[in-house]
Amino acid sequence: MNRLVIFIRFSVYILILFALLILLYIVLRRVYQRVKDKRFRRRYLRIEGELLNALSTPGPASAVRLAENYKKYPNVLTKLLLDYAKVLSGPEKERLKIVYRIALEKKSLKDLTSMRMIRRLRATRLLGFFIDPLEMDSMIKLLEDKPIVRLAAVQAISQLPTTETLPLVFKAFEADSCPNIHSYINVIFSLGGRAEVHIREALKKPISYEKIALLIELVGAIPIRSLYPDILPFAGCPEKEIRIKTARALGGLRIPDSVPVLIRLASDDAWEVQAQAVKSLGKLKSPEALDTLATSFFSKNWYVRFNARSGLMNLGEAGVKRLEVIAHQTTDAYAAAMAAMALHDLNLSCEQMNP
Amino acid sequence: MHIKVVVNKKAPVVQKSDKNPLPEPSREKSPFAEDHSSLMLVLEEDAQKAAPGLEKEMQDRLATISELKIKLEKLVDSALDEFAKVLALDLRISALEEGRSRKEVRRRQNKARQAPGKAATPEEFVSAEQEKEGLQQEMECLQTVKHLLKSMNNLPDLLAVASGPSQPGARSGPVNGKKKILIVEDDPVSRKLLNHFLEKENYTVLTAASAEEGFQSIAREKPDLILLDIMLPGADGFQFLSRLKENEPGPPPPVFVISSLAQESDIVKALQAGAVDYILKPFSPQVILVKISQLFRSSR
Amino acid sequence: MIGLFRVLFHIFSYLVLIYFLLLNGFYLLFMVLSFFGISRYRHRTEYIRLEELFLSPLAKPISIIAPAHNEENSIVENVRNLLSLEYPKYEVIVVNDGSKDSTLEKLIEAFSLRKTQWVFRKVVDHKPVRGIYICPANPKLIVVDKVNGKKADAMNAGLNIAHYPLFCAVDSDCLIDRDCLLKVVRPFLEDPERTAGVGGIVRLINGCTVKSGQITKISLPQNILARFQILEYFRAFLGGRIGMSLIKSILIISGAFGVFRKDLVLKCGGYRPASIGEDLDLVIRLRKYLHDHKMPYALHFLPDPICWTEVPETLGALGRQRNRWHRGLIEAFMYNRRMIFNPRYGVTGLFAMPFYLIFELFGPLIELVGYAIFILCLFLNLVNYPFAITFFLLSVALGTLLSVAALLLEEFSLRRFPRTSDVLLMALFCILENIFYRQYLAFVRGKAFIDFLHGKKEWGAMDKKGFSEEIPCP
Repeated sequence: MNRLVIFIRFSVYILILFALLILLYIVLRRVYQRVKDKRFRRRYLRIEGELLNALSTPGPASAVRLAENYKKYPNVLTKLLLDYAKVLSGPEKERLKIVYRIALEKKSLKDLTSMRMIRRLRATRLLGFFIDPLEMDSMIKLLEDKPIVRLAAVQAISQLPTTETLPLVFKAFEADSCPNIHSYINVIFSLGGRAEVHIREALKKPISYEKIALLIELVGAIPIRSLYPDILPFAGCPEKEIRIKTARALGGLRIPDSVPVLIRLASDDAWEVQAQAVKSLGKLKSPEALDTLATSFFSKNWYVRFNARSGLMNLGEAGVKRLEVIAHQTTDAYAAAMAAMALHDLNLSCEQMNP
Repeated sequence: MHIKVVVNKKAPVVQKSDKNPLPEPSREKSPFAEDHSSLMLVLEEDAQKAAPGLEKEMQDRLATISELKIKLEKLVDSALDEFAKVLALDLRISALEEGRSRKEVRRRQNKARQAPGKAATPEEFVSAEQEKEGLQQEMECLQTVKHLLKSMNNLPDLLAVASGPSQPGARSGPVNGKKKILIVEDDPVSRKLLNHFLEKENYTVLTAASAEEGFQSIAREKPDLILLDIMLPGADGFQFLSRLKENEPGPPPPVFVISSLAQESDIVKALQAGAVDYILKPFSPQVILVKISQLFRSSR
Repeated sequence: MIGLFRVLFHIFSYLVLIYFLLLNGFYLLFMVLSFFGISRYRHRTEYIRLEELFLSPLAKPISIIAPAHNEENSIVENVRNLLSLEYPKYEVIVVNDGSKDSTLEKLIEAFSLRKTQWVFRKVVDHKPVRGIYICPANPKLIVVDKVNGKKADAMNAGLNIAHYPLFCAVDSDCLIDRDCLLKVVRPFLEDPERTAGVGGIVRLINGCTVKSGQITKISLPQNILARFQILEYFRAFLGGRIGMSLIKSILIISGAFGVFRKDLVLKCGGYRPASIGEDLDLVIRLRKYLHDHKMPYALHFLPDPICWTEVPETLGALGRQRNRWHRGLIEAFMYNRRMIFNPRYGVTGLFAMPFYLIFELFGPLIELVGYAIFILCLFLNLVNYPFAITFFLLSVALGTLLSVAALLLEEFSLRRFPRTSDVLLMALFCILENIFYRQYLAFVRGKAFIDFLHGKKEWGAMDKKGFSEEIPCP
């Protein structure tokens, strides 16, 4: 027992010492960080004032002067440029570019090949705003890097969408693993119509169904109407997820010819496909879909009914008439209640518009 | 830069003296400035006559003025560069002076201890003084030029006022300074940016970081224009717009929405809620300034 | 006789020592794991631009479900805060759980609510709904008025009415950071098939300054009990849950803030109205369902998203709260006892549940029995004073170390106490905690056993409802 007591006492001393060391570390770290933050803040505010003056003064001279004077504070300048590049466009952004070129470009290009991921990431972020076609090669090398750097590189490359760079973006998308593909959404979305050719090609390739589904969804979200013939075949795909996204995308494209396809999808085996198809029919506001929407009101699945309700509400007078018919029938009380709910909501929204 | 600006007889005449000619810039000469002044004379007379048929001619000349204005701005830029150089020189001179006065003090101290040392070279002192005087005069001239060019910025406004039906009190001072603009924006970077650009154009700027603060500002200060962000803490921009329509006893101030929401539905919603314009982020402050000045001009 | 006692006392001392070392050993292990988890997370998210997610056209919509009961003083303010979160598409469903005060009236007045004739599908059962109100000016808001049935029941009502595939369970008196949803939805985007639920850190709002629904200044509360609880929450959330999530052992995602997939929760029966700790019970049953159906899944815990809650500042209120939590723990384990030590349920059955059982559930009992035996031995003059004192010092030192380590983890998190003096004061409280606070909690939680046994008979009838039948989706 005595030996045990001694051992325990010894452990107590070690533990208390350890706790004190941690405390000391916390205090020292705070002091150091406070000093660092204060200094950073002071410099940031000073340079920010001059930057604002440089932005509002015509001519690049002040921007050049600022870059020359504050080259020695790359961290502060980086933060400042990132903060303002987010918000600015036009000639003022060109001034920021000047500051970047003079004060930060060299360091950024060096950091792109740094061992530390944070440096590579920061440099890539900067280049995302200020990329020059000549730097494209270094960016392309980063497409082989860790996911987070790779995504930043993809975003940087998409800032200069040319016939050389866009295929790289899509190649990276095709090669990337599934957890990261959602990050490509914004990149491809921001390319808009320029992505058309590449999406068309990608849809033909044997990539995973999640990626195809994502691309189809983007086609509907952007929307790129000229890709309608390319996504139409996917309406008959055995993969449920793809059919769902196709139904949704057709709603986004709003092409009247797609109504028969959607009507067919509204009687698909999977309830999710039915629900999306009915929702898209509602968006298209086509009178041909009236019967399908009315039938969907009696579907077994609640989501399908709910979407049919919204669809009929948007079809104007014809839709209202059908809703009234459904509200008065007695075979399906639930459908009658939903139709009554829809009519009531329509009344509410009319009142809201004409108080 | 040597600009001889002769305005019409009613306005004060500013003439550069030939005593200490300033160093000639290696850029464009100033003869167009004289064109400009004569043009101004003609325009002033036209404006006062203000026959409707001369409207088109005035517009043509206004276009010419804006071209000339651009050229003048370039000159201003180089003028301001010179101005900056002059300032730097001024600093150097004062540093030299300080050094000199310290040397003087030390010399006197030495004199008290040892045999009388060498006197400070009076020639150096005199030439430095002359240089300083010359540079100071240069600075004054540049400052005068700067003021003139600034007031020339308002030339189209002044002419528009002169050509339209005579409005009592419409010809008073710079138009910008009277207008109050409220910025309702929670992002500090956007807020600082807009604040700076607007203040530089002599607008009175009020800021608010939330919808509530915005309403308090409106009740207190009654701004002439509101720059509104959609994403705000508390109530969002759309609610702000609908509340604005309800609250105001008279017509509410015009609202420019500045937002990062780029979906068509959001833009339509904002415009239907009463916004005059919808500006997407990222934005160019120059574009916003032009839009604001167009708005104020058209509302007069 | 006394010899027997002495032998028993020795055995018991060793057992307590081993138990104690195991317990603190595990806590320290979780601390270390949490440290790695936090640094990895911070590296990954340091340069992620949340605005991008915000502007994404394909962001997953979320339904926020906030049950409210007798909260007339703060409900309008809280709902306004919920309506101004930064997220592209979401709805707020406030469930008025049979409030006796003017909660509903205040809501109707403040938001100009209009009663609708909405019908909804009752996938999970709950007490009757008296009315559903919408706000014409702000379609994001839906208010459900129903007969009182406690929180689990109210959540079920919200689940039935929610439209979107994800839902966020919040307490209506909690304050959520504006970009919280943006952060917490990331695992659902990165791993949409497997992610079933994500939890975030809960911190104390006591002592902080709040302006326009956002925390503007973090500072230590004046109340001593609140200070003890700060340390406890740091240890539990920063030090415990993040580490446990790395070894797939999360058993609870706090009801104050948690995001789940609605379809999975409905499939496993929604919230169980008979449960006392409905958040713990939900996660356990969710795991059970997913294991039973052999569906791969993941539950995440992020160091970033933050929800701020108010804690009780009086001994009475604190005691009642902890008593309720412990009864909830006991009840959930009783209901799901077949999962304990069951290899069918993987890490949950073989590690997480036994760990909770031995160290969380029975921990207070063992502690109380330890104190009782110590006092008995004092009377019988059997105490080995050097051992007893050293052991006490060891327990204080270990507790202090754990709390200080939690403070260190707090340093790495993004919302820190701005004043260094606050941190030093907290370090002092780390030591003081062991003198009275721990013992009080052990007492309160031990008493929970007795209260549970007393109350069990009343709830026996309610407990009969099973959720074994498959509910057709969705």
